[in-house]
Amino acid sequence: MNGWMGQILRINLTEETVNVEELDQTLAKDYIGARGLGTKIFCDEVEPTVDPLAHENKLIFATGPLTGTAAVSGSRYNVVTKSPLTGTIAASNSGGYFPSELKYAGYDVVIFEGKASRPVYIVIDDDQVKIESAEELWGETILETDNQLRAKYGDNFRIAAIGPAGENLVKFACIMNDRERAAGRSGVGAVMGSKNLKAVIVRGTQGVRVANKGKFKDVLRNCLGKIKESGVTNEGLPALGTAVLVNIISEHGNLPTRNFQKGNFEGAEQVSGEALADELLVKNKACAGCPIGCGRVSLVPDGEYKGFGEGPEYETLWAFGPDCGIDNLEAITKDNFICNELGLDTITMGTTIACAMEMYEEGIITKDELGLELEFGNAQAMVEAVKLTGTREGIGDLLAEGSYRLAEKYDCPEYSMSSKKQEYPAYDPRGSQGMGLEYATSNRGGCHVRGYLTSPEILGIPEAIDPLTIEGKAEWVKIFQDLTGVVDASGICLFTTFALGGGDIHELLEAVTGVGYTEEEMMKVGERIWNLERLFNYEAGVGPDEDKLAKRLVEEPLPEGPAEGKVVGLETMLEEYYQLRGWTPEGDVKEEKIAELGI
Amino acid sequence: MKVKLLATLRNITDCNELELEVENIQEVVEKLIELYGEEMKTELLESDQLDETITILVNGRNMLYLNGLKTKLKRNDIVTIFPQVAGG
Ligand code: SF4
Repeated sequence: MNGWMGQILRINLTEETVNVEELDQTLAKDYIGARGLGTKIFCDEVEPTVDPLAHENKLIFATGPLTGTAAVSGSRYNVVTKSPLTGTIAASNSGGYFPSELKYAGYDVVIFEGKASRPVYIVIDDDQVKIESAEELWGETILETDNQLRAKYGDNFRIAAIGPAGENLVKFACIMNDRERAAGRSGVGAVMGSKNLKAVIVRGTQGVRVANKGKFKDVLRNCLGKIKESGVTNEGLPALGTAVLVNIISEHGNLPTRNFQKGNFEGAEQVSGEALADELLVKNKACAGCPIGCGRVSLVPDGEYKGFGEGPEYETLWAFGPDCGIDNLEAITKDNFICNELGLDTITMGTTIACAMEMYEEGIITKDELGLELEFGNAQAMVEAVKLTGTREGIGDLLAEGSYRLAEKYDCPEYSMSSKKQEYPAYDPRGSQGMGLEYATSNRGGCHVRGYLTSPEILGIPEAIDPLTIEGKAEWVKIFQDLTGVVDASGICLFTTFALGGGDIHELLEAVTGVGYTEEEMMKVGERIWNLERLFNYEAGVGPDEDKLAKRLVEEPLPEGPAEGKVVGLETMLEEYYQLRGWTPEGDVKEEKIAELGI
Repeated sequence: MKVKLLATLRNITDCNELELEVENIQEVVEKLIELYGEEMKTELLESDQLDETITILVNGRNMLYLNGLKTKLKRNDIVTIFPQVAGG
């Protein structure tokens, strides 16, 4: 096979057995790889009603055919499992170097099943695969785990691990690879923890075969040219990282502030990408084969928030900043470092604290219960809350359940800014209506990287559309969701789509795999993935009734700014969306659709 | 009115915002070029027209949905200008 390595590695942790299986070529063609192939295999093998933290749940690491190739930013893999946070399918994407190394070791997909009777880690060294005791690593932070494994195996191995948060089954624990890249959302790290699997280390010596080398070179030259020409990928992202958005989204009145009570933050400038670049930035960092290099490495040289490491990204700056009413850049950056060490998703962590802060200020939860003065703007209390969550100490035990379960416990689920129990990222959809439809319909709950409508609505890419209207948004959302499925499945970074279009991705896929997709067939793969995920969720008990938004977003108008007076016009968009998707008016996937897509 | 400059535009101006007294957006663009010369011109214009990749907001609303370059400005208005950027 070209692009694919042709092998699946299956590791049964209960039996401590390792098997290598051949990758089914038709399946690979129909689902491409990573999020697509991983989801297909997962859905074929796991009962949708499974308890996410039971040994019957499986954890799948899946790469795409472009992962590990010279294709721009071909650095990604997806972790697919059933999420303990949402009860839906989870596919969490990460870059760095670990994913490519999995390919070089000879595997497209690794399936972890069962549960180890003691803490273990896996060593994958080409075709030599071993299960080793991790008793001594259990309880260690991500950095310490990485240090110890490197000391033992050397720097040639790439490492993915969980921290104390994953071990303690925090519902939004992530899996960190290459120390500081995260398969961040939906609690995939808790599933790894539930299997007593502390880390996976990998080294490979094989190359990825490319079907048409000449064509690949030409396509690559063209793609690199576009990335160089685009102000976004050549200038904005390298210079300011994703954090460039803080000021821009705030100016648009879309920067959720104090748990989405308003849409612009008076302290935005202090926590902006510009401030970060001036004050704390040490250097940029890129994932394997990426010419963009959007990653940040920051240093807080001294004081109570002293620290050094990767981040913060836009989402993190927002979640610990404006959403918690905090304008202290050092405290936010410190929280980022702590999350990286403990293995916590920064979005859900920050927004869960923001939810607790509002509940505290409303008198729903008391200082005695919290053990902290958790009011908006209290940076010290916020940092303390993050530490407690990773270890589930004190109030951390409740925060570790995410904002929905926290608010539900106090009979006020409306304080949780989430869909399908996963918290929203950093865009208020009352000022970006299409994003509202995306949040409501996303198969893994509140999420911006399933169909990033901010791109046309706010950033004017690929063209500007009015963020305050609902007309035509359903079609944009559908196209973006399907294309994102393809990008995720192929193994390249979604950020390339700020410069590249569907046509470029099609050409890359074609040159590498040579399977003869038309562009239309490629987009069908995206649609197939979307429908398969939805069918799984339905069987798991998360049906169309859950295509909804937090009450605040559909009932409380934004109090000021350009979107003043707006709520999300969800109902109308949803109706049009179901129709475009070819589903019933109630949002059920029709048998004809299943047959058409060959699911 | 206040004119805020974001992202890499600040490399040219070395300031985050300035006060201008002009009638409309077209005049804001002209004034900025007058103040900051060739470098600002290259950033803002493409064949003497406003570069499509430049976004201009008036009180947070994209001028595309107002009256474009002819959008009239009042004393307390806030104009925000930035080049094409993205994140996520
Ligand atoms: S754009 Fe950023 S996140 Fe994406 S591959 Fe490049 S460095 Fe990694």
